[in-house]
Amino acid sequence: MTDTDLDAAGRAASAATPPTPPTPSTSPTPSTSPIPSTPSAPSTPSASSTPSAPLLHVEELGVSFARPGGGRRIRVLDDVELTVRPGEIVGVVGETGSGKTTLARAIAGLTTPDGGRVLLDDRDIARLRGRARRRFRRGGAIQFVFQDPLRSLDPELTVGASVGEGLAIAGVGSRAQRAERVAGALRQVGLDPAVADRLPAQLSGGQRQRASIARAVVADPRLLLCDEPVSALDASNRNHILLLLDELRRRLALGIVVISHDLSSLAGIADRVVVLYRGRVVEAGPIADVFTRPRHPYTALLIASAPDIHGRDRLAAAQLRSQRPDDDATARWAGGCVFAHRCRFATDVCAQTPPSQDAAGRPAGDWTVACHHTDTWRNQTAATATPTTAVTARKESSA
Amino acid sequence: MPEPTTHPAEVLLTIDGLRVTIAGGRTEAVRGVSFEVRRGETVGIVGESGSGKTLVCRSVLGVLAPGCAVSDGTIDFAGTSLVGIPRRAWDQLRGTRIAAVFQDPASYLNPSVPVGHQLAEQLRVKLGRSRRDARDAAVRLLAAMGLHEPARVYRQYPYELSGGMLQRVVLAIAVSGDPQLLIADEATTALDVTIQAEVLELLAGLRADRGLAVIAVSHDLAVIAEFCDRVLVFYAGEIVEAGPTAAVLRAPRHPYTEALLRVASVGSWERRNLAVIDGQPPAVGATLPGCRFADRCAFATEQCRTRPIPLTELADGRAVRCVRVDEIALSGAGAGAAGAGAGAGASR
Repeated sequence: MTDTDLDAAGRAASAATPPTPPTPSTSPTPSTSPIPSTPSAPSTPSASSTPSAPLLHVEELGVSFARPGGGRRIRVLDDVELTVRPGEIVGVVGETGSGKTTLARAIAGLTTPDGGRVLLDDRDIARLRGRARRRFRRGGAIQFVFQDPLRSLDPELTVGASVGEGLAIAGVGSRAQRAERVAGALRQVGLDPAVADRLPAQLSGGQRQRASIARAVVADPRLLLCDEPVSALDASNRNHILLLLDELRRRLALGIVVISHDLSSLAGIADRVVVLYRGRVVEAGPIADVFTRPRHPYTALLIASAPDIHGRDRLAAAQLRSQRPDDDATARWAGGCVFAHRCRFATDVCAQTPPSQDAAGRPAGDWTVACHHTDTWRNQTAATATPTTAVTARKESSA
Repeated sequence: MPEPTTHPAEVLLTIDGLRVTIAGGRTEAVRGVSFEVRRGETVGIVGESGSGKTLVCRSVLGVLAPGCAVSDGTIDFAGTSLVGIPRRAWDQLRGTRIAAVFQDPASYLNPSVPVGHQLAEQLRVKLGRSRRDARDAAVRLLAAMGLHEPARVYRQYPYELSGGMLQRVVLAIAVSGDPQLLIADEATTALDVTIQAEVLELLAGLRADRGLAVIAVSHDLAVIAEFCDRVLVFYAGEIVEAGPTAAVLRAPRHPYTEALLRVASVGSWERRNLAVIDGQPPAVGATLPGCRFADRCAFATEQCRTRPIPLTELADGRAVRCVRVDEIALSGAGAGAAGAGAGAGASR
């Protein structure tokens, strides 16, 4: 029963997302004004769902992996929340091992969660099994774009065969109809349909990444999961791909999750950002707010560490790093805040109690932070050190 | 920012007219590159993939891949020529006088040998230390690289360490012979941003403590901006602009440098119009009569396309390869985030 519902929803959605006129992309959101809760509203076609209804809602998601030798399972994701609306780009940041990729895999059904729900249009897709799951997957509502197109595209298949492979497996249309859809998808990502006859190795890096995005959009997806889509690319190709994602979400009302460790790339296109640390969401909210006034010490550390051409005033990474030696780590802080062992501002309460998600921002709940000292840690940076730019500090020390 | 006058240090490395061919000599990928590195100086090389920056580094290290060769030019390192010297001569240089770190530290370590043993081996082979001496020195070096519990790290295998820790181990091996020149080719690219900041600080410290000269290669202009005294901008196998980092970023003189600044990670957290550089670089080795950037340049005229453009010296230690340098107005990074917006031709 669930699968037929989903199919119907999928068809309704794809029927309701015809080529709408692209909204001008030259209208940057001013950083100071609150980002509306439905950034996609102007470009969202009047689908069966109301504009503000989330496309994807991940609730209390938990994933754990078995240890090689048995024993207690390793918790990789714990109580993760994530919401994506149609036409919205949500960035996921965090360091290696924070669970970013596992989150995307769990949403796509490539990893089985052991708790929580993954709701696509209010239906829990994490619970689909067997035939229902197969049918849902062949519907193509969720698509993945990987980091390295040279590895994610079969080197021995032509671009056209790779892009059309999913359609062929799902048995969509005739061969000629599929070729037509492949050509349409290639055009949609800004490639000449003639590249369908070429091999991935004959394309440039940027073209290859366009081809892998074509392979995703050919299925008429509702949600695109992009795992580090631009990290393998040069700066100029990187922006081409980011612009393409921005255009696709406007034109197709796609919800897009972009996993990236490049904060600046994300800031260019994402509406909201989710900051993961050791499998927990430590901060989430409108990206301009979170990046300009981070309320969690870990977010602040990430931002202070990002290299900057301008060298403007900001907190230096050294002001945010823990002053305690590392070996102080695990034992004392186990059971408390996940970031406490690296946090300069951690106190006893951080060692004992995991902080809850405090809501702030507008509308309420739009900006959440999991920290016991949300409102006070910043004062301590002023007390302990004079704010200076990382650049001048570094240049002075090396002069 | 250090000015040229604060660097009276002697020249350590001189590269003059370097040309490197790939594909067995058929394709010229580095087309006459000349620059100097002084003792204790950090020189950044920035450019897109295929611009020849890694080939230059590999020429200095004598580790060009099969099919690649220095076809012309000289490389002089503290009085020693590095072109066409025998294997035995390299053994005297690499590890003790010139060292290198690359992007993926795990692929440069033996996965089946504890990392400390690999470091101690360097000390025994290159410096002739005894087993016990080498072990003690290795543990001290690991500690100097900011690794906690160095004695434990010494016994660990590469798979037991994170990327940042592995890069610190590789750095320890690189500086173990007390080299004068360190080549860091995308050494922090694969690291998390928090770890990247720590490794860059470690490199800056090594430079200050040991008087180490560094050639840092990165495609990320922001990394170069934070770390390097001077910057060389590579495009399609040539240097198109060179000079003190702060001056070049504040007021670029070559249209390609300006375009790179516009597309770089500007550290701006506002939603912005993402700039792109239209077109693609010429194919590696392509022969063009004039400027290699002309087809992507908003300022190009007929005079740019007819004859080769020389790298012209300007005041204050700067140089640029552009015939229209005195006719065009370019904006730099000093204008702040807003300055990264509009630009002729290349922005959307």
